[in-house]
Amino acid sequence: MYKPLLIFRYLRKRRIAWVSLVAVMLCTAMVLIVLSVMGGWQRMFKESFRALTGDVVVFRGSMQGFEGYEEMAREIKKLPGVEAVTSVVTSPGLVKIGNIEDYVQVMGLLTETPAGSNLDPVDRVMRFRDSLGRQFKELPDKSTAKENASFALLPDVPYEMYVSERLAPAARNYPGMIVASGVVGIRRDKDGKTNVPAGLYTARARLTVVPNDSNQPQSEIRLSPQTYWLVDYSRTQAPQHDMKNVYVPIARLQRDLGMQASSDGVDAARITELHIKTRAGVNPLDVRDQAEVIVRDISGEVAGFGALRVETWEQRQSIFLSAIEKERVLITFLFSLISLVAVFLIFCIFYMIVVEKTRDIGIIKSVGATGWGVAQIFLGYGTIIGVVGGGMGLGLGWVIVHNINLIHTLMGKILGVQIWSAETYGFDIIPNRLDTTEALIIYAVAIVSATLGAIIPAVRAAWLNPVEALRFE
Amino acid sequence: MPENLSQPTSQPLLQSRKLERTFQMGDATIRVLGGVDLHVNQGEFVAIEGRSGSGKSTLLHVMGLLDKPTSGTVTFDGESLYDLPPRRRAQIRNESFGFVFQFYHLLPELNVLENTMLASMVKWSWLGFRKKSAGVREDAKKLLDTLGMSHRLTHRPSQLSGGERQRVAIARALMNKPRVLFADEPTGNLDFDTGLQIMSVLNRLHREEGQTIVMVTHDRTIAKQADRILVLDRGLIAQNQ
Repeated sequence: MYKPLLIFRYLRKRRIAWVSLVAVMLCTAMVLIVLSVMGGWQRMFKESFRALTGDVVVFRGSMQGFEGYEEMAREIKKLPGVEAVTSVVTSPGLVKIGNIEDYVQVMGLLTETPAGSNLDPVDRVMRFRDSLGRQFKELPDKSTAKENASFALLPDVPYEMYVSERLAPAARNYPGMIVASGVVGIRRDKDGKTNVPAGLYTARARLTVVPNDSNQPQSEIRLSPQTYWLVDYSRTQAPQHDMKNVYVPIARLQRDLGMQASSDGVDAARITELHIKTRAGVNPLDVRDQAEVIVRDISGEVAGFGALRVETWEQRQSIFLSAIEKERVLITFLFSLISLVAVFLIFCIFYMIVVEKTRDIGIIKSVGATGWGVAQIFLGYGTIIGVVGGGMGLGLGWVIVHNINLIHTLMGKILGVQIWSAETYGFDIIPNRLDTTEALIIYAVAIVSATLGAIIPAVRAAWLNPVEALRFE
Repeated sequence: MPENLSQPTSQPLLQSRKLERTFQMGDATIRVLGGVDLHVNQGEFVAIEGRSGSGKSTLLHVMGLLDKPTSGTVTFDGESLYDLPPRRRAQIRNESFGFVFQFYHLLPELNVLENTMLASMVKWSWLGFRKKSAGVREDAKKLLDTLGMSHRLTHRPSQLSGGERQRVAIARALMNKPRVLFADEPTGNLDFDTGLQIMSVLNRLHREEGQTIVMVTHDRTIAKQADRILVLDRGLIAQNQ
């Protein structure tokens, strides 16, 4: 009974212990905030890939692309673990919007399934629609958003007015283009508002791609820029997509690249990527293995350099993902070091307390307490500091993480300090989600650390000779 | 031989044989107890008198299980104390022995009542104490009342006078109804009148309740109030009066 009483009294009366309480609290909050922000950033970074990738991708490391994709899609969709399949064409290009002329990555996406096709619209496989401004992000009620992204021209824009009289009759024949936010300078300001440039949806883009018909001599390749109307912008929050991408209807891009089926039926249509969406709970690696058999069978290619490849999205992005993983390991290591400092601080404070309470230890032993009983007082003291300090740290961390964007905005306004850079991290919002499991692990580590810090002082207290302790000055 | 001066006349409650205690100070070995044989009978009030440095406090500590002898034995109620495991020794210290020190040694974080109950709190587990809490509290209050401290129950040691602190220390020592009360210079830190008050408390305990007391003092007038005086000189019992 004396143990809880003394622990409680020491906690109340020994103000120095409050320092360790505050140290544990700050350490817990700090680890929680940093891991939440960095972990959240890593999760967002990983998730951002999903806007433009399926779970499994069939591709060739060449702009030449591959044929037989309809047949592949038909067979792959028969696999029990597959939900949908869509086609993608990618190509470098040159875009001119107003006075801006820049190199871009052009992605041809399928937004409507052609009659008789085995392919699905892009949004059945990826989360492209959710990255769109006008069609999703800017909608007051997101439940009204259409299921699939669209390149359709905007019904309320009098396109004829924005071209010369000569071009007016053909103005509505231009296809729609969705442009990545970075290409037209769309960013979030300090207040979190997205500033869409005025006139974006009445602007035209001239897109030039290089046809990749291998049958045609390079000297005979003719570049013919095509005109598009900008119908939306996309912010996937993945820097590699948002800085340089433009999205166009896949059929149009196939035509411009010379990848469409020839009218005489000699040349089949080609794409550069086939994206597969797996069903929930299915391991993409299993689908990958099954799809690879189908792809090899249809293409007649064996694995090797230049051959068709089938990879999960994580395998395909392994360079990026392993870099992120290494960063996570580095952060964990750094914070383990910081936690060691907290343990050392608690050790120092507790050692001081034990020295200060040496005579008390003698008194307690003189009335019959065992060494283990005395040690339990200090171990319990350390554990309580871990429990209370860690709990307070969780609370503080929770408040800060949940309000981190507001705090950051206020810091920007009041102090002119901007720590989070959208350019550096690729996201203009600081991640503010707390992972419950992570928080509980941090809490447990805080309690264990505080108890560890108290172990040596507790052992010293346990070993003290009662007479020496009573004579201590 | 000085050792033979304290031979028991009947089965003693507490007995030491050839008790030695040495301390190492660098290369030098200091022999504080040089082979003490003594006995204390049930209900006896024994005073150990001697000059400073004669080893009387060390003898009390070794007899009371606060320190270990270098050699020799201490027997309590037929049990050889230093052959017992540490847990059992702690139990004897808690249940059978009570200590009163010159400097009171009260816990500053606890009030008078809590300091008094400390030995009982050590005796019982958290659950056990909860069951007996009311009774223990009542016993502690009664004890403090008999010592004239009932008006100070919630006061901290820092709010008490020296005499009051020593009375609380006596109450704490008596809380578990010890068979032997060890008092180490109980009046050494008090003025003459307060010292007399404390001695009257000890005398009353001995006379009225048959409390066995082993008291260390360097003051002959205080020692004279005991049934028997053992004079310690240079670690050996020189007289048994």
